[in-house]
Amino acid sequence: MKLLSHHLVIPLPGGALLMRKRSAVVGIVLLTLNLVSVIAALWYGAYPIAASRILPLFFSGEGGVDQLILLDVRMPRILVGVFVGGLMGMSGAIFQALMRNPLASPDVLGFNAGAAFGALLTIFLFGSAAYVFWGAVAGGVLTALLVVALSWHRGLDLFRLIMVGIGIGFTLLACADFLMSQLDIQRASDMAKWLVGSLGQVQREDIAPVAVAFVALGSLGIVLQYFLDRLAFDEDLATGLGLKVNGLRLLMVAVAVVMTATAVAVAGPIPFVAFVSGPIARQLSRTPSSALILAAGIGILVTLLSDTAARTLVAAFQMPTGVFTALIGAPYLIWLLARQAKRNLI
Amino acid sequence: MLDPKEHTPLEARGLGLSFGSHSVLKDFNLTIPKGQISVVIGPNACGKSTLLRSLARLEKPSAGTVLLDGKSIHKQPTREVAKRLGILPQMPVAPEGITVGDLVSRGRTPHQSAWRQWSRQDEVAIQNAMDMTKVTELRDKPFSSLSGGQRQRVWIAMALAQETDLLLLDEPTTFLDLAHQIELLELLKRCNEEQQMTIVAVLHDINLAARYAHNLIVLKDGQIEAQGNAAKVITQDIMKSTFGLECYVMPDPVKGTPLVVPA
Repeated sequence: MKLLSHHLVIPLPGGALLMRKRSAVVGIVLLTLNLVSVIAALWYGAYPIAASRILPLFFSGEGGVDQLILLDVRMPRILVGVFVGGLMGMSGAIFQALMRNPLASPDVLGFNAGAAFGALLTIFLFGSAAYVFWGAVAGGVLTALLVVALSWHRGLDLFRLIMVGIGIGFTLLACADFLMSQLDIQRASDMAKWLVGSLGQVQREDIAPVAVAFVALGSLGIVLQYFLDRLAFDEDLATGLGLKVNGLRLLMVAVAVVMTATAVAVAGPIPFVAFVSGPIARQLSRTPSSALILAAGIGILVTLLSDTAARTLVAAFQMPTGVFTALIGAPYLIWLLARQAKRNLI
Repeated sequence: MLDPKEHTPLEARGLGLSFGSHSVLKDFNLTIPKGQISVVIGPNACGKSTLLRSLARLEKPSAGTVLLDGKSIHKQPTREVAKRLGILPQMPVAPEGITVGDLVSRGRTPHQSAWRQWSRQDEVAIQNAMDMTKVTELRDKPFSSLSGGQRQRVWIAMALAQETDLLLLDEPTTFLDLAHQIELLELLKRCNEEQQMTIVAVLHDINLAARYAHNLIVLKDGQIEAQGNAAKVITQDIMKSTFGLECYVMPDPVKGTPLVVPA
């Protein structure tokens, strides 16, 4: 078994999975860090709740202020943060693997802008936030269809897709700005906050859709990862290995778009989570794979830490989560651009 | 009577292929003999690569068909085709950060599934492929740290791990120095002799092609100018008509195959 000195073989009935040992270790560390972060985020906040009371409060029926804060304010926000962060992390990792380019994430490609524009449009048309979720999902999917259609050239042309995506993204952001200028000032300022990306306005009802999307699309993504990793070869080699390249690419794009659109629908276009998660996960685990599970873990950690900072650093003032994810993501983007420019890649 | 399928695992019949209005192949017919090394030569832009890519189902023909074991290659499931036919394109791209061992093992893809990512057969095939190509010691190295000659051996190892009996290669010796070109062609020769692989390669070097090919296919403007063994195909006249090259043809002092010396 010298051949597999770096892998674990996980036997299945009638099959087997391969996992890198290092990835397994990184996964366990991330899981631990995320559990600690969730508990810390439940405990830590402007309103003090003793750590020893957290567990009892979950199960008692006392209904006091402590329980209200914990179960109706913090818990939904944290759970949604977990699912949204995981969805964005996986979505970014899928796009980056498909395009073989770390710049290609849904926040860069304009799909998040499309989802945000779709959400704004429903508010503008219906005068209420009732259809924001479906508006965002439809906006993200329609933007993706438009971008894919415009970049189709004897199959999915990945370079075109990046160029067209960036262009459409900026156009849609301009349209969103125009819509905001037509709203009254109170609504426009709420929307401005949402456009930065924030978990601040999350409600209990928001948990279910992102939880379902996280579990369903996440499992699908993990099954498809085997093929995604092989699409990292060029198109000719992947075809030679017996893969239906165009079909698989479209399927992966669809999965990743719905992932990001669902996340944006609930939390707004939180920037850079999708962008940084995949590369960090791959760096830590030193794997050639797209490492979707680890990317989800990083996405969750970045979102939780950013959101906890956003709601506690300045006590009287809740900042949007996106401000802090941008603090992490923007320097990375600059570093990446500088490195690619140095290697004459752009 | 011999079964014709036995002798032509791969065949182009009435093949037509064009890019936009530019027609590269027109009503093209070719049979690839089983268990032999076929080499396609011809001047730049004569359609060599396009022909090879069509035979490997990487290009969709506008007319005619490619037959694999007597059946249209485009009508067979691409995964089943991948168990019969391996293709090494001209400039293959490796996933970032991949090691040699991981790269070679991805040749097993058509034999695996998302559920069955590993089996005993996979291990045997990968080990054999790495032994054959002498890349076993490189197993844990990052692919990006290898030299050109090593990289090409690793790609061949990946193709061998696929365990196909047909292997198509598009200019596998380009960018290699002469010693490494010979090393690679010797490797292909061993694959052909020891594993009875049918090999089709596009090569630029006529003299090397003459040395290693059982069957030479000389292409010009999308048409076959000549086909057969080197002695029949490499002549002053054909070199002149195909390449526009004035030359002398003499026996190769080592192998006795024709040697082209430009005049």
